[in-house]
Formats: sequence, C-alpha cells, structure tokens
Amino acid sequence: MHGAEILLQPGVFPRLLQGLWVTVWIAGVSVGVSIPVGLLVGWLMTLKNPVVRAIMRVYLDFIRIMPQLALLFLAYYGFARWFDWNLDATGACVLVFILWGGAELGDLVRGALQSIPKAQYESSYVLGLSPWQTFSRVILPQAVRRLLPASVNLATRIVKTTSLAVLLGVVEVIKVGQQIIDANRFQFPTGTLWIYGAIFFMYFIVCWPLSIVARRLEKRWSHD
Amino acid sequence: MTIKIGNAFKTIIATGAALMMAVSVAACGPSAGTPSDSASSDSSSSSSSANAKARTLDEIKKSGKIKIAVFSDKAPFGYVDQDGKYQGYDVVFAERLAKDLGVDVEYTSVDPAARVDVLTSNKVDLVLANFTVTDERAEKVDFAKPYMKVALGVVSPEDAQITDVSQLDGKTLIIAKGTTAETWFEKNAPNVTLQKYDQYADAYNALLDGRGDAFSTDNTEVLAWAKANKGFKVGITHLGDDDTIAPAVQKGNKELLDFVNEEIAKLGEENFFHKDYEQTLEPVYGDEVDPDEIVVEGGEL
Amino acid sequence: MTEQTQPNAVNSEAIAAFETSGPSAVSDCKGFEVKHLVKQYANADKPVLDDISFKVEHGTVLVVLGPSGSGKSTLLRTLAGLEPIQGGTISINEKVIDEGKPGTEKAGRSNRSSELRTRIGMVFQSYDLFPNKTVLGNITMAPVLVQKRDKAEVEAEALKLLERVGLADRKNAWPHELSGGQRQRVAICRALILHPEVLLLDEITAALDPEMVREVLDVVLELAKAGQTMLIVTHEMQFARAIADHVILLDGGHIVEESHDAHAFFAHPQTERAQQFLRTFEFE
Repeated sequence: MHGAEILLQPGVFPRLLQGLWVTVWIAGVSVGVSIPVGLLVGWLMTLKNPVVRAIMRVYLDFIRIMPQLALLFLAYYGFARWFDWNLDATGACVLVFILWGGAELGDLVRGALQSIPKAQYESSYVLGLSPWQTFSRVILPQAVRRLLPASVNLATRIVKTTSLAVLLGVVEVIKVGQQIIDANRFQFPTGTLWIYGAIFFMYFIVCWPLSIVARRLEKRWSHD
Repeated sequence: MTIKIGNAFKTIIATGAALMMAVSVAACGPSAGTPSDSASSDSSSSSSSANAKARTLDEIKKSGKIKIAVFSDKAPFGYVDQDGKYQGYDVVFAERLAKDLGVDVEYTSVDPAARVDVLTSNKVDLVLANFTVTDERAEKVDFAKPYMKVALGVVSPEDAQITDVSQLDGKTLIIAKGTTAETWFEKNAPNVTLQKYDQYADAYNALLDGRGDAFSTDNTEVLAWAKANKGFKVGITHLGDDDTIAPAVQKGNKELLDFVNEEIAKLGEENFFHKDYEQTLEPVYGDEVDPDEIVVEGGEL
Repeated sequence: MTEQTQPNAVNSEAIAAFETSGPSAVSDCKGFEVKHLVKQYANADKPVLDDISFKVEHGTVLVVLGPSGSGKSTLLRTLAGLEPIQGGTISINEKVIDEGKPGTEKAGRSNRSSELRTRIGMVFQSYDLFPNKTVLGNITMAPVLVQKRDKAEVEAEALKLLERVGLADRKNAWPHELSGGQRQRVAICRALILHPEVLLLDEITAALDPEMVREVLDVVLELAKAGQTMLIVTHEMQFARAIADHVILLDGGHIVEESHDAHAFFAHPQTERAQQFLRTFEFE
C-alpha cells in the first residue's frame, strides 16, 4: 500500500505530535484539576446537610445525563450568548472536562469515603488526631487506594473524549489528521487509513500506560 | 468527623479559585485554534472581549488581530499545509483583508455546521469558509458581497464523456445524498437514474468501479477530483443555478460588513480574485476551466 | 506504682518499656474517676448508663463485667470521648476532662482536645489498624503528629514495645499480613506509646480465633504487672479473675455490684444478679 508513504511526508509526524500535545494538554489539565474538585465534591457528597446533598445530587445527575458534546456546546456557545462569558475553545473543553471529571471522580470519592469503616475514624479520634489529620493521614490514603483504579479508567475516558474538542474547532490530533488527509487526498487517496492508524497508535501510547498502572495498583492494593 | 464550617468554606473558596485558574491557564495553553500561529497567540484574545456582542472595527484594529473562521480541511479553499500554515482561496482573501485593515489574522478552524454559531457567539469576527449564501442563513448572519460562485459539474470517464444533460437519459448518475445535485436532477432530469451515496469517497469509488456513468456535485469539487484522477473529465462544468459564496459577519455588524464590501469592490479593480484563483485553485482545477465560471470579481455576478 | 517482681519470665528491661511516664510516686489523687455518669441516646426513653460512679486507682486494673446490652461498651466509648455524656463527670487525677451536658444526645463526639484524648488509650474489638501504614507507621503516627515528639525517639520506643509483644521482626509488615492476634498486639502498642493514664480494652479478644486469645491476654497481664492503669471489658472470666484488682458488674445501665477484692467477687458474689451472671460462664 503506497498510502503508508503519507506518514513519511515532511511535516506529517511533527504535526500529528503537535496535535497529540494539544490532546494530552487538555486531558492533563482537566484530569489534574478534576482531582481536587473531585475530592471536594466527594467530601461534600458525604455531608449530612440536605441542601448540600441535593445540590451535589443535581450536579452529578446533570453532568451524567447531558452528553459531553452538549455540555461543550453550552460552555462554548451558550456561555458567550447568555452570560457574555466568551471562553476560547480550549478553555471551554477544559472547563467541561473538569466539571465532568469532578462529578464522576466525586462520586468515586464518595463511594470510597463511605466504604472506610467507622472504626478507622474512632481509632484516629482516640489517638488524638485532629479531624484534618484523620482525613489526610488515615481516611484519604485509604480512600485513594480504593478509588485509584476507577479514577485511572476515568482519566483514560477523558483522554479519549478530548476528541470531541474537534467540534469546537480545537485543532487536536484528530483535526490535524483530518487536515493532513484532506491536504493529501489527491496524492494519497488511501492515506486516510494510515493517518487514522497512526492516531489510533498515539491514543494507545497515551492510554495504555494508564491502564497498566490501573491494573497494577488494583492488584497491589486488592487486600484493602 | 466534625470539620469546622470555616475550614470547609475556605476549602471551597480555594478549590473554586483553582478551577478559575485552570480555566485561565487553559486560555494560555497550546494555541489549539491556530496551530500555524502558536508562537504569537496570546491569552487575551478571547477573554478581553468577554461579550457575545460583535467587535467593532475599532476594537479589532486596537487588538491588532482580526479573528477569521476558515476551513482547515477543505482544500483548496481552506486547509493547512505540511508546515502547519493555513492556505487556500479563502485564506488568501483573509490575509489581504487583514493587511488592508492593518492587523494580523487569528484563524479559527470551523466545521461547516459551526459557521453560523461562531458568529452569533462572537468567537470570530468574520467567516470566510466557502460559505454559500442561502435565505435561511441570511436570517442569522449578514453576508457581504460574493467573491465566488458555485454551480453543478458532471464528471465522467474520458472515453464515455457526458457533455450535456441529455446524454444522461436512461443512464445512471451517481450523486451524494443531501447535495444540491440531488435536488436539481430530481426536479429537472426525471429520466436519469440516480444512484445515491452518503459519502463522497463512496461516490467516487462507485464512479471508479463503473457502477454509474457519471457523478455530479459542486463543480469545484468534481473539477479538483478529475484533475487528480486520470481518465476522468468534467464534461459539464456549469449546470443549474449559481450559488454565491460570500464572507459573513455577525448580524448587525454593519461597520465590518461595509468594510468588507468596500474591500471586495476595491479588489475587483485590481482583479484580485483572478490572481487568487491562479495561485490557489488553478493548480487543482487545471487550465481547461474558465476562471470566470468560479470567480466573482468586485461582488458583481 | 504496683510494680511486681514475680520471677515468671518478665524481664525488668521489658517492663520498663511499658512503664508510663511521670513520677512513680503514688498519690491519692491519681487515678481515673467517673461520677454520676449519664448516657442518654436521642430517641431512647431511658438512659443506657444511669448514674455510674467508680474510681480506678492509678496502677490498678478495673474489669467491667455484664451481659450484652448492659452498657459496657457504651461506657468505654463515653470514657474515650467517642460518645458525649449527658450527665456526670469524667476526670483524670481529679481534673475533670468531660462534663455531662443535657441536649448533646445527638452529637457525634465529645469535644475533647487532642491532648486530652491521648491521655486515654483505647483498643477496640475490631482490628482497627490503619491499613495504609506499616506496623511501625501505625505506632509512630500519633506521637509524632499529636504529641510532636522526635521521630527517632518515638521509633526507638516503638521498637521496644514491639519487642515486648514479640513482634519486633514484623515492624515493617503491613496490617493485612498479620494475624488477628498480632494486630491486636500492635494496636496495644499503638495505644501505649502515647503513655495514656488509662488504657481501655473493649473485648479485644472477642473477634479472635481461640488459639490467638492467649497471646493477646498474656501481653495484657504483663501490662498489669508493669503497673499500667487499665479498664477492661471482657468475657474471658479466667482472665478477668487473674487480672482484676477491682470489678464492677453492669446491668441495665446500672452498677449492680462492685468489689475491690476480685477473688472474693468471683468466689462469692454478693448479689443475686452477680451470682446468676457468673453461673452463665460455668460451662467454660
């Protein structure tokens, strides 16, 4: 198949890598900020206050029910039109992925926190630990172990979902691929498969280590 | 566990701040909208005008950049070359507009479906993305004078060339669903058997395999394809009504609209769009096509 | 101090590792005292603990007996501050650390300071080591974090304690790698390293396999010999008889019998309720 030669054209690989960097950047920032947001949301979800609980419930359900694409359009076009809040495409993506990641991670955190036996809190109290010390030194480390495999899966999903950013005009790896395919459509009519193959491989390279880490951690911490 | 409300509140504030920071960091992250221009893009471009109301000509001049939506994967109108630079017929026009306005261009890559939305939500000042003028679209955005026109073309094998619609009687014509070609042939050529495909790629393959006698869609598209595929020729380069292609601005942005219209008129005097054609479209369409079938000069049909 | 020098395999250096800090002179005011303690839950018509008073002299062991539901565990939980009290006082060395207030029925915990909490140690029935810390990490966390003690000094003491309970070689093990008996011994070390005035043991062998009960109780017996003030809830009658300086029998939230002569209590209980209670263990 001479279509493979498209990959050897000058500029093709560097541009794909540049696109991949945009993908990884959006996913990285989103996941990075989702962690503190998720911890906070998860903690709020465990509170007994009915108002806080209801708000968190609505937040989680809203994010779950809405397709990510709809959220992206809301953030990108809707905010600008309704609130005069004009986010650029990358910012809108990051915001949506943080809200999404924060909600999903929050639910994982809630589940993990609630699965920690009461005796862990009581032992900490009796040993004189402050509530913050109890949370940060005892409860959180255990909760993190329980939720880590699932959160790595979530991170992988976020990486993959960044491909929706194309639809806001973000030029990430898929868009770069489409540009290359189009620019070469007469020279390399069968280049499509090769470019998408290369993109598949790039996603794989990004996501595969994550799933390995998830599996390792799951195995190592299975006893908790 | 009793966490004091004060502490909880601080945590919320802190996390909220972190979130806001992340968003603003995002704004100065890799310049995804303009890969060709990543070095010079800055974060203020979108946040400074936090308003869905269109920017005035003065505001554009002041910011030093005009934001223009173009295609990034529709060669030869708007595409990104191997160096990552925007190129094409629309882009040449965009560059000239910016030059005359004394500003740089910040390109945003758009998909066909997003062309109206990017204007109504003020993501860009101007759309130059092979935007065909329709009544429906004209209700949502303001079109300037046209700079291009498009009609239908019919491509067929060189050894069985179709040069007139009458030759298609009783034959099979390949078309892509939802295109103007479909509507036109259904209405005007009832004796032609239509073979419909969802994707252009499938339609072209059908033509290559001989499943149909000819293929019809926008003349610009078939011209480009025929040039790259030996043994095929566009026998009919101009069929049906002309659709015009024009720049679009946000509804009511009269100042910018007037500027663009003046530019088009002025550029007509120097035959700018013919030069643009020679530079960007001719290498793709070849010299057998009469540029006047595609180019509109000075906004006059 | 009631440091005993019986010859049975207790070496004096090891005892030193158990010794609580502070002056060894015994004064009358030292000890752990409860006066008129009342514990009432929010939706209950009568208190779980009603007017409980007793004093555990410094260096002695009080064993609390009683049928299930008598309020033993609740008593220990209130003493540890895990449940707020609605009446009476809890004091250490005549200093009140917790005072009953009505209207706190729904509250989760007593609002004792960290410092006060470290003065009362507690080991639970369930294995409650922190699974994310090694044996050594479990023991050294609170003294370093709460008492701000030097890490090296704390580790040295932790090692001595582990040696004493026969687990020095497991210092880097994770809790899940230990047997139930080993975990309870580590939990005891974790409580002891804070040098509590009193150690509360809440049925610490109840969840253990029978063959592990002995190894844990031996450790507790040695602690008693070393003069650790303790308050023990247990169903092991042989053990209770061997270790108690002082016994109270709880039933229905009241003290039905109290004795400062454990042998006399087990041999000739005074009240009918105590006789009846002790008879239920006769098949053991």
